[in-house]
Amino acid sequence: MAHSHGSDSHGHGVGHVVGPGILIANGVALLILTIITVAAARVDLGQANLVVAIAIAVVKASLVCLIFMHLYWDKPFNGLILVSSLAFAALFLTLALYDTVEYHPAVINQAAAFYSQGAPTP
Amino acid sequence: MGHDHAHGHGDPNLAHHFDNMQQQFEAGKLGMWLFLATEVLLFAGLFCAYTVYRFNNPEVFKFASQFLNTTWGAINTMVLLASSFTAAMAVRAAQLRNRQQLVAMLAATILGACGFLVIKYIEYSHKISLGINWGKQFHYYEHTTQELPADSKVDIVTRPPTVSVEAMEQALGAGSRTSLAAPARSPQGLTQAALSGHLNPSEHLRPHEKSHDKDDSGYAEAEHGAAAAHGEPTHGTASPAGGEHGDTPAPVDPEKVKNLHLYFSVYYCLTGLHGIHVLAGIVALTWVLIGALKGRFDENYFTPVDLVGLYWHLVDLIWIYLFPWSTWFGFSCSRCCT
Repeated sequence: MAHSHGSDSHGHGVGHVVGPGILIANGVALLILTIITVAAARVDLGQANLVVAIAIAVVKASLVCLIFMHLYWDKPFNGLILVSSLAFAALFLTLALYDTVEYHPAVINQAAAFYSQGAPTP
Repeated sequence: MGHDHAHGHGDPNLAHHFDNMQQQFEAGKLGMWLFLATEVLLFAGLFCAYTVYRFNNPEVFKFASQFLNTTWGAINTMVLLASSFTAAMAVRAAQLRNRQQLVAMLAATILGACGFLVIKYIEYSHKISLGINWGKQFHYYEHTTQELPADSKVDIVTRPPTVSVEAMEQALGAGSRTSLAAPARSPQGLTQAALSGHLNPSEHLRPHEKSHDKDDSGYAEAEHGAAAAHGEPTHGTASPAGGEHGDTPAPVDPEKVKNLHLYFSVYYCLTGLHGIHVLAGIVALTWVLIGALKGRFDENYFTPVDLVGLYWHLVDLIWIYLFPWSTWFGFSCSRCCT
């Protein structure tokens, strides 16, 4: 990725030097986003609460990866490793969640019938 | 990258199997990223368990989340983010050969890590003092199970410590096998009550107020059927006098929260594994700090600082996802699902 962007790298040494301004701004942004996470959780947005919480977490994670972990200036391959691990995690989660809640009506109806007919009393 | 490839020839830190310092640095970083990928997948398994369990048992999560302290969670997030920032500053200091700043930043990072563990200790010890442990060590309801009739289908029954044995016997005598009388509380006091060990689960676990992940008629009908079977009103508010057992009873459906220990097993696995990573981070950071004090790092050789920094950012990253999980269940879910 473009390693001349927004930094005070002077090309000495083997790595890219990130400017203190960027690091401080990133840290402040992360703290603000944390406050927003807490505040958003206290507001009732219905099902959107979950989406908001995850969206903020994704933004925070991206900031940490790109700035603190230098992925913005790194070779793209390092980022590719991270993204592929996340892709596999997402695949894993999706397949595991495939049948979640699917059986609820049947199971609950059965349980209700069991209790309403007065579980076989001895 | 793209830097002077002649850099570092003859550097005492250059391993013989690398051409130059640049190659050595990038190889080390690539290896670290591969390790971080396995870390992501390790935690993904636990996050998966958490998520699947949450969607299959929304009422358990709604109930259990009352025991999680979001304030401490938020403070811990800030502590970790701050230490992540100092870790990034440490890498910069190492690259600029600023040894004083490097030592200061590494020390601050270690301090943040220790602060995180202290807060975790406060959270854990409070839960453990209430008997909220993992798996078979879960003793929150223990005293109640012993008083159940032998033929009961319910193995764990929710009952706040404030309920007298008389009230319980009355409830059992009334023929309600799975419902126990319990005094009502104001919903505002729920979290506090939970933290002080006097939570009344009935307030938000009435069958007709139970959470839904989707509007499924079969699901709803089943609930009403189950509620009717208990002889409880299927409509009504949280009025204290809405029950059938005298003064301020409210129906409890222990079936819905009887697997609370499973929730806390996952909770301890997830936060505990993260805590172990924090511990490992402290060890690694201390090692780097010793190296920094000895002046081992310069602009061509700061790989240990950089890689331990990457590890520390990953620990922070995982917490970034752990934290909304607790707030999501702690606040939003209890409202959005009812």
